[in-house]
Amino acid sequence: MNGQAIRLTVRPRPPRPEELTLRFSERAIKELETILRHYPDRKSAMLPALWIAQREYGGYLPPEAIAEVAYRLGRSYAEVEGVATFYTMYNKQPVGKYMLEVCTNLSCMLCGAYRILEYLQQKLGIQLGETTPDGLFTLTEVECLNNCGDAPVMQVGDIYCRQLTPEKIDAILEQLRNGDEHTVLQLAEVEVQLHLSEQERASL
Amino acid sequence: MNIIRDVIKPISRGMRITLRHFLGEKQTVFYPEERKEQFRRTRWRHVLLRYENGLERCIGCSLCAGACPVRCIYVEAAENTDEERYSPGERYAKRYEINLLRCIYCGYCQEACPTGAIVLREDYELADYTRESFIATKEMLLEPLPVRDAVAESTTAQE
Amino acid sequence: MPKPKHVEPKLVNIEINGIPLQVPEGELLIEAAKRIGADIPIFCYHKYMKPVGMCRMCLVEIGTKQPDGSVRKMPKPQTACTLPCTEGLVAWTESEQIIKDRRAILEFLLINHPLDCPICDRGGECPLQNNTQFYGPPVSRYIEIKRHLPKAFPLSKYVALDLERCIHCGRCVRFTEEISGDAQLAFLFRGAQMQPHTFQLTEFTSRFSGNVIEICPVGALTSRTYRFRARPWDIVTQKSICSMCSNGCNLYLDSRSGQIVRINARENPAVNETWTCDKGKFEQTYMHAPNRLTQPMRRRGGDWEPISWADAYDLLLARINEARKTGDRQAIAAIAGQRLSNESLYLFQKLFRAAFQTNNIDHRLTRYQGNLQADVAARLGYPTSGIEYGDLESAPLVFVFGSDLIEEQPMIYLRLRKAWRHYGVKVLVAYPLSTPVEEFAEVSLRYPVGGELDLVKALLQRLSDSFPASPSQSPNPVSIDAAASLLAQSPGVIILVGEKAWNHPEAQSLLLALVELAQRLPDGKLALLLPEANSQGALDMGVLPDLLPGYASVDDATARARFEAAYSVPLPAQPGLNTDAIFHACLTGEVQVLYLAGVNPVERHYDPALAERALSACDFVVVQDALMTETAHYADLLLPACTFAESEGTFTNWERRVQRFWKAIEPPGDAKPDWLIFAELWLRTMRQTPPFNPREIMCEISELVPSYADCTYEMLGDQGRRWE
Repeated sequence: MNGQAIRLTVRPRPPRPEELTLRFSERAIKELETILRHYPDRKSAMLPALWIAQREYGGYLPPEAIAEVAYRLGRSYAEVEGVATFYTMYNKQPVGKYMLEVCTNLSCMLCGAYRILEYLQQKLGIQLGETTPDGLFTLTEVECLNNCGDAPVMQVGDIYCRQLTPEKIDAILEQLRNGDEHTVLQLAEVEVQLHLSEQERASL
Repeated sequence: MNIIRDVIKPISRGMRITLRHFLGEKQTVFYPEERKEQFRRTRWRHVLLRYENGLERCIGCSLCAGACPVRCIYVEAAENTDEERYSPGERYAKRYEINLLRCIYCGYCQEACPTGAIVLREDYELADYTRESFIATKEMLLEPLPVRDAVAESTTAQE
Repeated sequence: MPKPKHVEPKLVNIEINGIPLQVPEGELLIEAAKRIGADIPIFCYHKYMKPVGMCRMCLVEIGTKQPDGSVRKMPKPQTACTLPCTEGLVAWTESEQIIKDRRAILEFLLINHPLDCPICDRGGECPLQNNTQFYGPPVSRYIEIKRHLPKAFPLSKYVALDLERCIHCGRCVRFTEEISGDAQLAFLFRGAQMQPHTFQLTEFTSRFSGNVIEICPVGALTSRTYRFRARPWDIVTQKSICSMCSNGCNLYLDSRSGQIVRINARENPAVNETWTCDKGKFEQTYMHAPNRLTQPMRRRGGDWEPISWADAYDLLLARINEARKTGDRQAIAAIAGQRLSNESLYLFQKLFRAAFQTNNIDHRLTRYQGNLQADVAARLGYPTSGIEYGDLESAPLVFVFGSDLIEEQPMIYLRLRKAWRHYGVKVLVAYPLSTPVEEFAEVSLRYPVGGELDLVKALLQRLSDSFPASPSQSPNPVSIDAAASLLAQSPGVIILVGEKAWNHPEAQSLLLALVELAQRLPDGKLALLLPEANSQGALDMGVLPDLLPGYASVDDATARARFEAAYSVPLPAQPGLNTDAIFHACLTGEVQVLYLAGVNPVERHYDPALAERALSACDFVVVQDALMTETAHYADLLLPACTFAESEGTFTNWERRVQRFWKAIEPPGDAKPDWLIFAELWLRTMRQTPPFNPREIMCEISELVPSYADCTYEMLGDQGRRWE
């Protein structure tokens, strides 16, 4: 940042509450209200609220989603953004339909996680952190998934794919392409439902 | 009084020393046509140096003014811009003044300088007629811009 | 629970570095260590914020005394900033292990620090520099390439952020969350990528943003107005008081070559703790405004002709004498500003009462211009405020009435927020518009604009059915009921009354209703918040048409006799004209000479058109001010005055705390301090020895005004003194 910049730049103002475009659906608002009843403080519902936002905003959290969560919880924007950027499972960038999260921590690495990664990159024609042009797959590298016994492990949406080999990957990719399961949105949905009791789910 | 012992002998002894120096190597020079060579570490008037690319070394940090025991340095800093760049980095000295009447040429400023911008060199001809003329401004202190040797540059370019 | 007023703390025996001492139970070890002068380096700890133990700089070794007298040591060092003292605590702050730990922590912090100290505005007064100097490693073992992040990123027009320099102590983030309450800064990302930022890098719009610059222990948050203007060793620092509002924040004015380059907070636990608002910190630059007056000037046709001070005095006194001879008692009138010091205001009233024999003096530009002594003091025992800052913390309920607290009284807002956050003080707010106080208020009453009186009447009616019902509709019956029951249930309510009350069309009835409300509530206290830095002082110093200094009535012969003996002239006994009456008398031509000292009615009077018409109608208008204000354009004679930074004196803040300020810079040109102008006029008219300096004037005040008896400069000291 040079001198010129500091003299001329005027930062945009943070949006006022009335300037926000709220995109939560009826159902999402109901879910949030139900979850809020679990806690004495509205702040406590921030993580489930962000999951709801991730689902409502198409699998990732654009700044508008963060602002909406802040507005609905009565917290400041920066506070919610701090929480959203702290946790890696909240996506800050648009992602594909499926997230392929390959563990490269010690056990998986020893069992050939990098070979798996390379195979995936080759097969999908993308680098780490990129999305395929058809918008189906986003490939990322993650830390330990707590499944070292079945290394190498990859997380796809709400499931783990264990003891990976190139053949298994081919099968998984084929299955994902043809099916509509284990998407990013589905993971968010599962996470939201986890915060609701049986009764609450029924009443919604 | 013994005239030989008390007058002639001492005078001739004294004149002998005079004569020896008269015939020996001369210490005086024909100033101002000639100048004596200064010691390499002599400390006279300050110079503000530049980098090879012509940018000023001074970043206007005022550490020299802080170190100065007689507080004869005044520095006013400002911000570099891309259009007007004086030194690398964010900050440069907009005004840099030394009161040479007050300066005791101790060289603490040179020691304090983090970029080696200010040095005391051998320009010792500092006499002048008015007090105002002893305020050395940045323009007076700053090393002239390196002269570009156009011929040499073009030949190296051709090579 | 609200903070209890007086608690005898339980003492515990602890031992630091082999020195036994007794401290209150629960006091943090880092504060206890200060009692014996043991220095514990800190970054994240701040006296007025919750400790978090983030920076690990304050590590100490601790242990506990066993019943048999032996000491059981904790195996690992602990952070002194999060450790409350308990019985038998033993701590070592200088052990070999601790010295090694501190060095290691500083080495780690410096790995990611750019070490651009020569160009950093914090260089020379930087806690990181100082701690490294005293406790850090002499050389770095880090030879790899340093990380690079945006430098001098502009967060707002006041604050620049340099992410490379940040050491993640969290002070700024905690400040916005705990103290100012807007939580505009937060840590984004985590681990090595962690950085404090606003939401999406939008503007940092907090009204207290300047404080993060002061509390940042490195140069990560720096001031854009002070950027590269001076180094700490170029600066002359002088103690002062903020002149922007009646909160009376203690300040340091830092000047270089006669220019104020920076304003910092000065700690006063009873007033501003260590905070300032942005208005006081960045916007207080009028002493260097281009429209400063530097020379006395008289009007010649449409032009200004510079004249000498002697000629100016001659001209002024000639016009005054003429007016006194030809006109009646009303021919001279004067209005003083509320930013003048107590000393200037005292001499002002002395000059006009004794030398010019008129009571036509006032300082108020609000709609309320009645007699505070009769309206408030006679009923409640105090003229404006029955509380001080600390009382907000121990009250059960604070009722903010007709004040946008954050705009009008920023420091009271901070203290009220602290009271609510730390001590659970309940807040009730009544304001026509949305205000930040509503965010933490128990009940908010939004009444229609101008509906203050109806609201108070409705509340009074709810509190006692005998009170006649309010004629018009009250804002919201449900919340009024809630508010009334809240008020009735909490003995010791504090009512903070803001600007809306002073400027209400029926200001006097409203004030009386509020007094009634305070009396009706069990142990209720009223605090009438004043608009400007020395509004309270102007009341105390008797710059009023009907009250002498110390709220004695002018028609009270015994009170007058005391002043007459001191001034050795008789004083006029009939109350004079208040501001509005003065303006109306100007219009009828009764007032021939109008003296305006540091006051700008054309901009500040509630009815600027009236002020403008009066000033144009008046024969001879004298304006004594530091700036060429809108009012100064109507003047026939201009006298250049000094600002608070260029003269010495005292201000009295809203809680009646008299605080000294010192001269920081030289006045520009021929400008003179206000008190000196009055003293010289006094010398020319009365042929009596004038006071030679503000100290002497304060001595005279303390002799004549009983409430200021303890307010000599010797007694005031740095932190001021509240008169009872």
